Amino acid sequence: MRKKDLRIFLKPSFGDFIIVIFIIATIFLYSAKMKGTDNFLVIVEINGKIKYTLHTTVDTIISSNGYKGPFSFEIKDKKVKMKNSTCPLHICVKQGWIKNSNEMIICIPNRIKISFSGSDYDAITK
Amino acid sequence: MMQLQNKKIVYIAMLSAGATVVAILERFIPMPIPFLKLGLANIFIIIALFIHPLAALTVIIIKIFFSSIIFGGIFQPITIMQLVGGVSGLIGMYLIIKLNIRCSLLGISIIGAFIHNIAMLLTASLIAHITDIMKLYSIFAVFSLISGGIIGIATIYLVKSMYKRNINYNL
Repeated sequence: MRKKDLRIFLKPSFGDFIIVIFIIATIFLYSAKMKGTDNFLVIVEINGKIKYTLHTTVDTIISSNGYKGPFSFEIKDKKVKMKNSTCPLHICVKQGWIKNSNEMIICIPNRIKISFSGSDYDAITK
Repeated sequence: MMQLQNKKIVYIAMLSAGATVVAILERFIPMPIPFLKLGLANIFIIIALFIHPLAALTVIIIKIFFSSIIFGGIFQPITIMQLVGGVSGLIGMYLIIKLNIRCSLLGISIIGAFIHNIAMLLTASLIAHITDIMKLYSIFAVFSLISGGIIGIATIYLVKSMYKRNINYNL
């Protein structure tokens, strides 16, 4: 890196284009692979083990213990949100409600993952 | 071994201070998704990278250390995630430059952001034992494109203005 003239790095050039196209291609390939699924169940995993499997149709508020301390979540109108949690930044609480099966709420210090599950069926063979 | 002249030490220290302050302040910028941040500190990290990769590593470590102390302590899982993400991003950016791929700072920044985010996702899945964390890939990839692009353009403008004012510490 001795005495490298930085000026060549200041104009957008060919390599940038390749990188951007590559990343966009991976995004398209990845989202083509995922099918939408129905949301029948809310699954709460703590430290990798499934702790709660609940129906989305029943509105409940549940308090439990995560890896670090207590937390609580709420199911309402087929949506889920984390009500509070003993993590320093409360990113999981700020995330709010999730509705799609592609979203999930995670709390890293408490090792919690809240997601949806259901049966996915092909629209064609249905 | 790198000869540390006083000017370089001061310069790296200023870059680290800038990265830390910017990293703390950007947490207060509202974002659509809570855990995503703009990564403004990467402007300073890319500039440090062109002095020496170890200089950039210093900036990264100082930034993570001091910004973690402010926000919840250094013994949290997010500190490990940031360290792994930051170092992986640094290695990726260094490789891109070394392999002479004819990138501008824009591409370097985008690759850095992309690898940083993916590495953070993977460390999070290891810490919290989440096996299907790759469901969040699309959101992270799109956001890393956008934020990497913004930071890359900002860095290009910053370095251009440094050249105009003849600030040239081994850049």
